[in-house]
Amino acid sequence: MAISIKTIIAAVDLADDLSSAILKTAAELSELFHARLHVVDVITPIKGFETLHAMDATMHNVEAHQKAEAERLEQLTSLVSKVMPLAKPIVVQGNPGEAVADYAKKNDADLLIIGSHQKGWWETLASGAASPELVRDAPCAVYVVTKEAARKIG
Amino acid sequence: MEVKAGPCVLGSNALTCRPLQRIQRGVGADVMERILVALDGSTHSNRALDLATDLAEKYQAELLLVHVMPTAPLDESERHMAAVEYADELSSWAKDWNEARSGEQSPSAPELLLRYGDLASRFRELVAKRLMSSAESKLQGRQLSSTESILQTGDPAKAILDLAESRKVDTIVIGSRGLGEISGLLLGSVSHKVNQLANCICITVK
Repeated sequence: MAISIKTIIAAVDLADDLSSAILKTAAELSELFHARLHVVDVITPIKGFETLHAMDATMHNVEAHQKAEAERLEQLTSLVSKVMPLAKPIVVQGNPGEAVADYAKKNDADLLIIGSHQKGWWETLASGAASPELVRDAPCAVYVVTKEAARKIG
Repeated sequence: MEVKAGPCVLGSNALTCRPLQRIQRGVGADVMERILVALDGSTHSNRALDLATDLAEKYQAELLLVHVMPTAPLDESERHMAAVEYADELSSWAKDWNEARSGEQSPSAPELLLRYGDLASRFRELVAKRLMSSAESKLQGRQLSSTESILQTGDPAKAILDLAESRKVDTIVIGSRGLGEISGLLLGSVSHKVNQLANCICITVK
C-alpha cells in the first residue's frame, strides 16, 4: 500500500549550509507526492526581564528581536519564493527542536525534512544541535539530509 | 509558540504544490539511486517499506530489502511470540529434541528456545524468511526497476550501516522503533544509532 504524504514540513536555518539542499529536496518531494509544503525557520525567544532596572534594556531588546524576526521572515520568503513559490514560509519562536516538532504536530505533517551535521553525542550536546531530538519527538516520518547528501544535491 | 507566516499566494493555510514543470532529473535522483529499507516486522518497519517502495518507484531506484537477525539470546517477548505464532514448528523441534534425548523431560517451547541457542537461531531464520517473503509479496505489481533481499546476522545498527557503506546506498529508510525496543527509549534504538552514524540520507518512519 502506498504511503500518504499530504503535508511536508522543511525545517531550515538560513545561516546553515544545508538549507539549500533541504529546500531543493522539499520542493521536489512536494511535487512528487503532490503535498502541501511549509518551510519553517526558528528564532530563539527573548528572555523576560527579571528586575525593573532591566526593564528598559529588555524592552529595547524586544524591539530589536521583533525587527530581527521580521527580517528573518523576509529573507525566508524571498528564498522560498525563488525555489518553490507555492510553499508557505513560516518563522516560529522557541527551542528549535521543540518548536519544529510542535509545528509539525499542529499541522498534521506526514514528512519532516531536516538537516544534520552528523555530530557525535558529545558534540550534539555541546552544540545544542536539534536533529536527534527532532527525529525522536516528531509526530511523523523524518527525512535527514546529511552533509554528504547535500554535496550530491548541490 | 508564536508563529509568523509569510504571504500566501492563494490565501489558504498552506498551499498544495502542484508540479510547476515536469521533473526530468530532479535533485533526488542523485541521492535515490539505491535505497535500503530495514525490516523487522514491526508496524513502523512496514510503513518504512511502504515509503521506500514509493520512493524507489518514483525515482526508479534499486531497492534493497534488509533484515538483520540479532545474535543476542531471544528476549522474553520473542520467546512468547514464538510459542504463540510458531507453535507448530516449535512442537516439531521439541519432538526432535525428545527423540535425541530419550528419557529426559521435554521443556516447554519458550524454555527450549531459552536454553538452546541453535534453536533460537533456527527460530530467527524462520521469522526472517517469512518476513522477507511477506515484504517481497507486497512489492508485486509495483513498477520497480530492481529489488534485492538481503539477510544479515549481527548487531542490527552496525550491520545496516556496514551494508549501506559497502553497497554505496544513498538512502536508508528505517522504522523508528522496532519489535522489542522499549528499552531503546532509554538506551538508544537501532534507528537512533543508524540516524546518528549514517553518512547517507536517513528517513525514520513512524
